[in-house]
Amino acid sequence: MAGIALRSLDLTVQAGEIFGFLGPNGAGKTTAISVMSTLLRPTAGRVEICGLDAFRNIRQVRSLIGVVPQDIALFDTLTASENLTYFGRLYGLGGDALEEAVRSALDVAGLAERSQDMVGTFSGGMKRRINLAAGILHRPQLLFLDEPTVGIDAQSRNKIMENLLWLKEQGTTMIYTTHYMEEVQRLCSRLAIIDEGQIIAKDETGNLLAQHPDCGDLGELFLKLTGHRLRD
Amino acid sequence: MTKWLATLIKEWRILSRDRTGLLMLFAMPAALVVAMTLVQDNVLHRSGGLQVAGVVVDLDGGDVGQRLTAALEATEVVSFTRLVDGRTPDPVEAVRWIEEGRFQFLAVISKGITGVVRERVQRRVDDLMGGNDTAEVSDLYSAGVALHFDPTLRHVYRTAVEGAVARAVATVQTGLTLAYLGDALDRNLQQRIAEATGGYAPQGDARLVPSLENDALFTPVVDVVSNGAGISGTERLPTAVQQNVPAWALFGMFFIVVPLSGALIRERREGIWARLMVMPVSKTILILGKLSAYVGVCLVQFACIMLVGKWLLPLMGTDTFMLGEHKGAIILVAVCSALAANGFGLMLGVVARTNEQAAILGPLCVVIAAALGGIMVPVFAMPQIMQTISRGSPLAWAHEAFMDLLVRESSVFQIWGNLSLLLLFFLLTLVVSIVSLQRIHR
Repeated sequence: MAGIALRSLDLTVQAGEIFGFLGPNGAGKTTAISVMSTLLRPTAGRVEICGLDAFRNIRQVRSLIGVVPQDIALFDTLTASENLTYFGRLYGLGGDALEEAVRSALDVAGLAERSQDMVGTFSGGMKRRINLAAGILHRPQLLFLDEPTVGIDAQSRNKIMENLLWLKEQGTTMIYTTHYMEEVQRLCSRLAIIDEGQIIAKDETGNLLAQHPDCGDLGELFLKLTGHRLRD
Repeated sequence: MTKWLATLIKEWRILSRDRTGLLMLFAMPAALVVAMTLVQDNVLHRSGGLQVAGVVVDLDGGDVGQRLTAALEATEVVSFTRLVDGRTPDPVEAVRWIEEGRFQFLAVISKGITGVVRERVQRRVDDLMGGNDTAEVSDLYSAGVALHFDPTLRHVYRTAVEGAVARAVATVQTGLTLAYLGDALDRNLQQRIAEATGGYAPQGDARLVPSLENDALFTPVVDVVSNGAGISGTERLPTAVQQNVPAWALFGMFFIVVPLSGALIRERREGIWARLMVMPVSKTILILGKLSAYVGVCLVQFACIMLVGKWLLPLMGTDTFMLGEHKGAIILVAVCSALAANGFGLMLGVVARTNEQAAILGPLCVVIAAALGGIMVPVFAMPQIMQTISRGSPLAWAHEAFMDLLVRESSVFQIWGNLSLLLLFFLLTLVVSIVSLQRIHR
């Protein structure tokens, strides 16, 4: 099976939920997100988003989704406001709607006062927050979050968590990958655990824990299902 | 349109904040064009014979020595000087001046040359009149006028000096020969008449053959006219300014590959390109937006170098850069060159995996293409094999098109071949880039 990144991946995410997508390093999380977000075309199978075949209606689907990548995918020498304005224009926003979207995204990120500073001058936490803001500018119906809290302090992490819960209240559906189990426990109503390209567990968070009473929390459950072998 | 414009503005903002990149794009070619033009301007003036100067020392002092000195001083191709600091130098100090770089060559007219030349001319004419037309091999050139050159003087200038001396010697020799021949013919004719008339001969000093030593005989009867090879008939001399301004402007424009490929690699490595790829915008729009911004920078660069040629270089004593009659065609060549340069930068940004690869490979390719393209050394001065290879350099196509317009005064119809090659190169690199990008995210 060498060279196949994902096998028999079958996921349905309900509108308005935050779906946790867990797995050790190299399990296929980022590949799965890339396929679901139309970045990579799968060799077989299909992706349907909001009732649309993602690869047949690619432009339409891309307007409906937002992606917060693992990398800080921003231009260091542009200001926070310029970054958001550029991405907003690519999402088709303009005029007052664009201005409002940028202002709102900066507020969500807690960076309204630093809007005219270059992103390159920001701390890691600020960059992560503006990275999230760039993904939600156009108020997507489905938001993919690929480890959006890696390497930041507790304050920034908490702010991002609050933002995601606020987005959920607004009706945004989210697929969330992370290595922080407490985040999943706090945010996700359902989750799937993927290893070696295939899903090994999928259910509501509470149900999964109930099925494994020997596991005190999600971290123990994760290790039980994926093993203690190092994945480098 | 909005997305294309947004990308263009974004690129311009990023570029305008990249001080190192701007310095490389604008200051580097401007400095190069000034330095190279000033250096080559002097060399080209020397090629034109205005500054290759030498001393002529007449050790003879006789009639032939004086005639040779006068003939050499009248030479226009190179400059011969008889008096230095108001006096006649001796050969030893003249050689020292050459070593010090004050003069580039020395011509020494040997002592006794007048006697030797007169004796040999007379003997040759007498032999001719006596029916013997086989002249002995003369060592006049090697023995009569000795030349000393600055060892660094290029071959072309030595040849010019040697040619000037040979012409002066030939002129003096011809003059003396004609003078003596006229006298000999007159004597011979009078002698034969006297023999035929039994001693009766014309009286007094009346000559039967006029003196042949007449300036009119030395006036050329054939004009030599120098023309360019162009068909317009209005070609300009290829001055250092006309050659260097477009050449180094092109060199600078092609250096756009460094920031362009660097920006693309950074976007790919930092995940920005992946983010853009999941937005409702096509790759073509993103690439066109990026290309438009960088092509715009190239055109601003080109305009700046033209201004350097027009305003700055003349302040430093060079000729003024002349755009000529075909300004539209020049802009067209600049646009095609900018497209070719940006196409290459785009391809490099897609094919190279790291910034380091692009930062080394890009300038290396540009410098090699520039060397092959006649930016540094004219293509005609290269060995045949290199001339053949140079036909594959986009800089050669662009430079040749500029030279056709700026020096040969050709029209756009005469440069369409090179324009087509530049556009084909752009399209080829664009297709390779887009196909490679598709493969990356397939």
